[in-house]
Amino acid sequence: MVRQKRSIAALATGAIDSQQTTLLNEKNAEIEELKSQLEKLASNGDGGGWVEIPVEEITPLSILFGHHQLEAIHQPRKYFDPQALQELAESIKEDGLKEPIVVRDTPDGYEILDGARRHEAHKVASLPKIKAYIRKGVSDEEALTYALTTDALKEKISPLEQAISVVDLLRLKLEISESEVRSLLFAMQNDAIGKTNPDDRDEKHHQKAQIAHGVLNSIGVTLGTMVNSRLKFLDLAPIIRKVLEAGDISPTNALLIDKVDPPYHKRLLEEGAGLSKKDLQALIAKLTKSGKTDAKVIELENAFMNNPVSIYEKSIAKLQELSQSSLVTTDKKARQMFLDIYQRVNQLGEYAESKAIEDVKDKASTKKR
Amino acid sequence: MKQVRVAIMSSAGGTGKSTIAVNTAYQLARLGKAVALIDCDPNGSLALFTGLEDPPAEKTLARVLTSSKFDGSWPLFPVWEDKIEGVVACLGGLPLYEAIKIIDKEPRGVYLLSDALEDHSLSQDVLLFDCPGTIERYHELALAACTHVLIVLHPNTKAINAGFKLIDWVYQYRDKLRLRPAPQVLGIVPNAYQKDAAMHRNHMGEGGADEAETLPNILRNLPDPINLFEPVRETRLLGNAGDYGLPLGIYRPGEGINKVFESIAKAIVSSGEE
Repeated sequence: MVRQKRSIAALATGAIDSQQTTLLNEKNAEIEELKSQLEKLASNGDGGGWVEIPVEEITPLSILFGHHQLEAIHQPRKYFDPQALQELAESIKEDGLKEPIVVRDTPDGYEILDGARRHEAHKVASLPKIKAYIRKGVSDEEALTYALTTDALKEKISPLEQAISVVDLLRLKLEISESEVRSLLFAMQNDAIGKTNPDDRDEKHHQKAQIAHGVLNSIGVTLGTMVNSRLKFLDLAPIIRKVLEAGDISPTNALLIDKVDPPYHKRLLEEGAGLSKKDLQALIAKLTKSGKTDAKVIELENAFMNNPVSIYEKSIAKLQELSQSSLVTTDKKARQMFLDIYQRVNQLGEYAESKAIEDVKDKASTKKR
Repeated sequence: MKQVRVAIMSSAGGTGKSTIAVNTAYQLARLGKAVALIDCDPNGSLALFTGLEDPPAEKTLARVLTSSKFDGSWPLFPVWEDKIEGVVACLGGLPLYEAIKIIDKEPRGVYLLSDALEDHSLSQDVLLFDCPGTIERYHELALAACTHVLIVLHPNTKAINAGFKLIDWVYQYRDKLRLRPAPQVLGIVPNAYQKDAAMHRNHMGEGGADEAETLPNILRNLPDPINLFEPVRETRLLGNAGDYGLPLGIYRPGEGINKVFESIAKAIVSSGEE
C-alpha cells in the first residue's frame, strides 16, 4: 500500500455536504415561509391591516441587479390585455377593490409585490387611491421571490413572463448573467436526461444546480418544461415577441410562427395571430408551399428528360381540351392564367429565335478559322 | 448594537477556547462594550482564567438550567473590575455535569439556555459561551442559543480534521434544530501557531503547500465561505497570563498578539451593527 500525505482539502468533504444541504433547506424554508405569508394575505385572513395609499405613489417592482453591471430586474407581470383591464376598471369603479394589493415600502416609495394589474386598472379608472397591504423591510430577493411566487401561484403570468422571471430570479440568487443561467439550465437538463454525466461537473456547478432546482420547485415549474418550453420564448424573433408581449397572440401560435422562415413572420402575424392552432398550421402550410413546389419542379424536369415528347403531347392535349371549355371566356382568373401561358409561349418563341441566330453566328465564325 | 451571542467551540480539548474567550472579552470591554462570559464547560477553566474561585452549584450556569422555574437572577460575577469596566462571568464547572442530564427530561431540552435568555435576557452587548472540548450536549445548548459560532483550532492536520467535523456538525444541527435566524460561523481562529513548524506553515498557506491544500483557500471556497482570523502564535505568555487570571491585554499590554484578539472583538461588534 502506497502511503500518501493526507490531503486536508479532502477532510472538508463532510462539512461541504452539510453546508450545502443546510443552505438549501434554509432557502426552501424561506420560500415556504413567504408562500404561507402570502396565502394568509391573499385569503384576507388578516382582516384589517390594509390602508389606502395614493395610486401615483406606487411604482412597479424594480431591482437594480449585479455588482458590476447595473441591470434592472422588473416585476414579472408587465403586459396587460387592454380590454380585460378596462373591464376590471369598470368593476372596481362599481364594486370597489375586493382584494387589496401588496406593496413594499422602500426609500424611493411603494413598490408592487402583488397586484400590478389591479393597480393599472385604478389608473385606467382614474381612481386616486388604492387599498394596499404595506410590507416593510422586504429585501430585493424576497421581493422578487414574492412577486414571482404570487403570480405563479395564481397562474396568471404568461409563459414568456414566467421565463423572464425565473431567469431573473436565478440571476439574482446566483449572481450570474442571463446566458450563464441558460447554460446552467441546459446542462442540468442534459444531466437529467442522461445526455451528459453529472459526475463530470465541478462542485460549483452542483451548488448552483441545487439552488436552481429549489427555485423551480418553489414556483412549480419542472426543469423539462423550463428548458424545452419556457426558454424558447426568450429566443423568439423580436417581431413575434412584441406581439406576444402585447397579448395579441397565444404562446403556442407564437412558437409555431417562430419556427417558420423569418420572411413569412410579418404576414403570418397579420393573418394568423388570432387563428386556432390547426388553422394557423394550415395557413403556414399554404404560405410555405412554394418550398414544396420546388420538389414538384424537379419531378417534372425528370419526367421531361426521360420522355420529352410525352410532356409536349400532354400540354397540347390539355390546351385543346381547355379551348373546348367556355371557362376562359367567362372566368376572369382562368382567362388571366390562360393569357399568361400565351405570353410565356411567345417568350419561349422569341428566346428560341435568338438562340437560333446565335448558333448561325457561331457556325460562321468557326468556318472562318 | 444588537446583542451578539458567540459560541466558542472546538472539537479538541486544550485548543485555547477559554484563552480566546477571556482575551476577546477584555478587548470588547476596551471597545466600550459590556460582555458576559458564560462557561458551558464542566472543566470550568473560565474561573481559572478570570481569577475567580469555583462557586457553589447554585451560583453557576447549572442554576439557570436546572431550577424548575428560573427566576431570572443570573449568577454573574464581575471580572477584572479594578482594571476595566463591563466584564462579568457566569461560571460553570462540575455542577454542569449533572445539570446537563435535564436536557433529556425537559420537553424543550436543547433550548433551555436559549429560552432562559429569551425569558430573562441579559443586558450585555456581547455574550461569549465557552463550550467544552469535544462535541457534546452543551454544544447543542450553545448552538441553539447563539447568533454566531467561533471555532478555535491548532493549525495541524489532526485539529483541522476535527475542525471540519465540527463545521459539519454545526450545519447539520443548525438545520436539525431549525434555528431561525440561523447562527453564522463568525470565523476560525488558528491558535498556538508555530512559525517554525512546516506543517503549520503549509496549512496556513505560508509554506510551500499547493494553494488548494491550504486552510485559507479551502475555507474561502466552501459553499458558505468561512472567515479565517489571523493566527495566534504559540507563546508561553498566554499561559502565564492565564495563571494570574488575567487577559494578556492586562498582563502584557504591549504584546502584539493583543491585536489578534482586538480584531476578533471588532468582528463581533461589526456583526452586531449589521
